Amino acid sequence: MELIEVLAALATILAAGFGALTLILREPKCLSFAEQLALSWLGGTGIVSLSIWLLGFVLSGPALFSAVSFICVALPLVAWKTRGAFRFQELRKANRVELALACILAVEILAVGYLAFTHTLGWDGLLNWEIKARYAFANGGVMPAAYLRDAGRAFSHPEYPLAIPFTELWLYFWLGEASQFWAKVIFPIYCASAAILLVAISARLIGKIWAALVAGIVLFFVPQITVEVGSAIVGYADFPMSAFYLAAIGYLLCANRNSDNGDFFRIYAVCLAFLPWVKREGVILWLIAAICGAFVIWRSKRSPKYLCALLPGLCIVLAWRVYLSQMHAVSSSDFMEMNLANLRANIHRLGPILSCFASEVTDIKVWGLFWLMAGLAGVYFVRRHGNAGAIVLIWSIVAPLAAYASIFVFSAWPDFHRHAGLSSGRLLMHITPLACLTLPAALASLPSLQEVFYQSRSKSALATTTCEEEIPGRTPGIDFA
Amino acid sequence: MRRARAVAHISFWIILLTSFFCVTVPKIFSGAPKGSIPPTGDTAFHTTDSFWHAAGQTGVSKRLIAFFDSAPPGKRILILDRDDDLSSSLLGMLTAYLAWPHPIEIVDLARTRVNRGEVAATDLSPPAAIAFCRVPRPAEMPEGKNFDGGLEVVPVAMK
Repeated sequence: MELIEVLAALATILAAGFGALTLILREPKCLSFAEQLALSWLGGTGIVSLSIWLLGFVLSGPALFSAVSFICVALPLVAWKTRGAFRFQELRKANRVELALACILAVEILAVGYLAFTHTLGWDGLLNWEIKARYAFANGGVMPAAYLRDAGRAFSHPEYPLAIPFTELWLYFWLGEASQFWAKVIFPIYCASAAILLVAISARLIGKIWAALVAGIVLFFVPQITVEVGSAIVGYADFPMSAFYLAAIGYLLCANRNSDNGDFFRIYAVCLAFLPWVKREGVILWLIAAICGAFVIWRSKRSPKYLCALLPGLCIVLAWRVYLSQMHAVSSSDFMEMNLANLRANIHRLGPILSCFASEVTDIKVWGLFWLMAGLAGVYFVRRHGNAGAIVLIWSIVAPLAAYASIFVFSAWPDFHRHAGLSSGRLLMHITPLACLTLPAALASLPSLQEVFYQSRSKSALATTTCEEEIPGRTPGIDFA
Repeated sequence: MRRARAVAHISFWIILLTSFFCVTVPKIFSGAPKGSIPPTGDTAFHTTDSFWHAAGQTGVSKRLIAFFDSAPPGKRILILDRDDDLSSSLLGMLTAYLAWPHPIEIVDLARTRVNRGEVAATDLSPPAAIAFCRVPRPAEMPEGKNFDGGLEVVPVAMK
């Protein structure tokens, strides 16, 4: 019975996201079915959590649940009424190599799902996120004012935004009770969504599906993503945020191309808006992605009206700030006030903090050779995409790192090394799926086997032998060019 | 020459990808079982109960909630822990998590950081209960209820 209730909760989230996606896109056929599902999940969690929070000002209990359910059902119905039958991009038939790689990726996603169910929630997953869902559920779906003002529970960061806790709360509404076990179900879905979007965006940018699939496979072989503290399976908000960030920057890169009719830019705007709603650091990512958006608008000579895409995110940031101040919410004492005096007094910390981040990046136990590969592949990405695309990607990877490192200058912990050391791995996760976007560029730039064989054969006067004869299993998918 | 470069290019990436998988696969397979707890009968407290799972106890979360429910509404729970002991600190926060809706005050006896319950510390009224999280109870205090895992809760002003 519990499983059916959880499936119903997930279906309503997907329905809300799917309806909203269909409504905002001019031509939904530009996206495949899997891509639309992945985006529906990201959009759906944003819509449901935001609706619960906003409607919670006037409703609570069954009325709140009914109102949000109505939104979830109404959105796809309105989309169907106004847009007609739902349409998806038709995919060409996959070759054997693509199928094999897709199967490996599917097994990886299933394995992540299995790990999520057998592991408990992590420290932050329980005490920063699930705690909010549980307390709100006990209060009819509304975040209790007493919790926000409770100095004793400041350790649980009452000031953190509510996308993850209120998605868990939605499951609790359907289950009729808070459940630390079922709350974890949303995280493998974020993994699946991120993998699908990574493959879809890479394939669109590079044009090689096999290379895009390899990037998806590599992502889940990074220990920090799958098994380390703060990984995607223990209920932290870092991986979901990285999925939103990947989608925002990835679709902005797609929008940067001339073929975009504005649909990719709309997807960018939606994912951008939800960044500050997932985690506090999302404000930094929002700012960085917004600068990228403004840059693309300027470079592609689009109308300044496109800048309106930045407004929803800004509204969410401001609304949340106003809400916290009106509720007199306590904030954690992890960081001191950011002002010039504190900056001058603590600027000497920058060197040790940078060295802490450097040692994190080079920690082979946690990251393997991922950052070495991503760095090398970044060179290929720059060569392949040139100018605007490369600037956007490099900026959106480097700028968060710089911003995060700078923030620890203001750490209020007596041992700021420990503070930076504990957080750096999880902060790097925010840009990891995005950094994976560079890999397909490197793989697609490799010389083709065909090229190598032809050169060999032509020199030995055996040019009559075709590549198909030489490598019977050869398909366009393994053609290295 | 071009062919040699092409072969070197392909070989480089094959070696790099192979090295990546060789380094990470053992790490993932060894790391995956860590922290793995099969779901117990009560899924509502799968994570919090796992803290006491090692001590062979089940259903501690529900017992603790039932205990705090007998405290007068609005009465605070005083939690004593040590920030220099990770298990004590975690136990303190788990107790605070389960003590809802009672206000809580956490006092870090190690004093290595500012008390998290510093604001509430101005409240001089007796707490409903004092939770000792891997911290020894003073001998002059009456014995409390032992929840294993180093947690002892002494009722002070309960119903």
